[in-house]
Amino acid sequence: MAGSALKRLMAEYKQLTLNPPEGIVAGPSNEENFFEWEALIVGPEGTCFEGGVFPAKITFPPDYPLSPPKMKFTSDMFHPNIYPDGQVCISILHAPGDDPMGYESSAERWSPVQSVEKILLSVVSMLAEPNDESGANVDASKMWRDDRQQFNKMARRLVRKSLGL
Amino acid sequence: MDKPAIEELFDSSRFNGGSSSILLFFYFPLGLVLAILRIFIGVQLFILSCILPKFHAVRSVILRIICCVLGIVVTTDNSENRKKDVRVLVTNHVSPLDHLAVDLVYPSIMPSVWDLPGMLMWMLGYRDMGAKRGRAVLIEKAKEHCEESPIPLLSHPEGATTNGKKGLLKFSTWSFSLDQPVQPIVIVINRPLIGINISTLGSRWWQDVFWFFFSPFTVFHLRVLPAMYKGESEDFEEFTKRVQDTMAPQLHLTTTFYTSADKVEYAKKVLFNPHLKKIDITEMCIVSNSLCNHRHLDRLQSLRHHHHYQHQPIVMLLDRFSVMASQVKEVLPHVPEDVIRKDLEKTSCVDTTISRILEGQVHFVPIDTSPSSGDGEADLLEGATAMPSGTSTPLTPSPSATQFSASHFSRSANERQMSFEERKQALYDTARR
Repeated sequence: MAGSALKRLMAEYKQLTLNPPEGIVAGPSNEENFFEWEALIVGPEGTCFEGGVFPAKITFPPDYPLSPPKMKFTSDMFHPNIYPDGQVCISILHAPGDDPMGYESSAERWSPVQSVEKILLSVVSMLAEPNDESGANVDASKMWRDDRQQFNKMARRLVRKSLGL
Repeated sequence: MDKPAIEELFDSSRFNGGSSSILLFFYFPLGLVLAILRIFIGVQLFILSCILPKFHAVRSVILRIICCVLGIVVTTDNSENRKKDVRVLVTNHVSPLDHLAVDLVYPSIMPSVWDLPGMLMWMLGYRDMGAKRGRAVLIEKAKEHCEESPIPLLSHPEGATTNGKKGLLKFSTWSFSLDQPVQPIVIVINRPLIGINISTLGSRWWQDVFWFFFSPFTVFHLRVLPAMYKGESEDFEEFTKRVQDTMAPQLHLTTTFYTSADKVEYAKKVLFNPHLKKIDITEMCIVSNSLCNHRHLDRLQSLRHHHHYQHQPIVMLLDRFSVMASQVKEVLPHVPEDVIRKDLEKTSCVDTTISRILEGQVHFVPIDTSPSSGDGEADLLEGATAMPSGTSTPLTPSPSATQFSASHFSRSANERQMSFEERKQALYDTARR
């Protein structure tokens, strides 16, 4: 079982190395363990996260790609769809049937035809357009809805922090 | 003028057919002898070009004569337009020898995209400008070169070859941002007497070169256009478009929005599905509706949208199992097609088949997709979905500004790790700027 997961991860790693999406670098943080990846995501242009570099950890289950991986930002994040501990909450990371927040349609769920690349792209679009119905981070959701200016300010502070400035 | 469809931009077969094919039949033995002779002469030329000082008048004369012997004739037009102080030459791209032809008349160098040994690169007239470390590095190095050296830089902004009969691919902007002004040169390539196409879809550079040697002779006709300056209010994209619009009518071509990436995509489609048929969009929807999973329909539509196929007959697979099999193949390229098909006939669902294969319920012998695999690690590598080996159409550099890709995927874990660290650093460096 782990053999096919490894094979698939290697293929995806190769694809992401040779032809990565814009503003994304991802790969195993240490090749001793292929099930722990590190990803760097550049905040999408034209959004309040523009220019920031956000590191995240992706953990794959032994039966990947049947079960989805987990993704967790290792830098401070303030976003409606990211738990305060950094865990990302988007539909593509949930297998059909397990829906922690009860708001997702079954269309964009995890299945073996999805990939790390698609997850990362979904995360980029999540940064650009938060979904305030989810509320993995209730404070962020509330601020995003009620006080956008304050939210943008928080985001820009995170961007500067992420660059070590 | 009508925008041409993507299939009109490239030749799919080497021979034109028609009346010239009879001529070709009689010419064949002669051509073969000629090709072999010329390969040996070509080696001499190669050595000679290494000995003679580059960018010297005598060298250019001698090389031109030998190239004529090899069947490569270069003629020029409007050469009074060529200004010595213009550092950037841009041309359309019709054959793998374009840079050689231009180099013969107007000595120039080309930034290399391949990982060649330094010596070989120098001999071929390429120079490493760090293209593999991303576009930012390439542009920086190329700019440095333009400032320091009087030798002009040659680039093919199309990024891939076309047949030069219908349209120009979309130009990438990077070569226009290096230095001002830019000298456009249009190349018309002509192979009289026998109808052998210069370059076909998915052909390798050495195959094209062989047919160069095989043919009696091939004429490169270069026409130099006046140098162009970027306007005050123009951005690089508009300037690029203006240069393209100037070059296209000179070639009697239209401009298109297809990019070199579209060519690769198209080549993959055509070359890996030989039983491909053209059908209308309506038919395609029927096919797609019969799929077990509606997500694939969305995918097909987004694919179609991406490739600007909306108003053209779409290239699609006719039979339903082929569509599904190719989807499984995309995810699991190491599984033989017949095994996939057999399982699909049982499950008739893409996702179920993928799961069954991954769970090991289906037995198969993995296909070796990597050309030179030998060690154990190659097994892990072979599943890659990158560019298949059959379509190694050489692409000139047009990396995007924020893409941090590696030039190759190393066999050794250590090297991969290093490249990963480097790319992470590059991303941080770019972001901090």
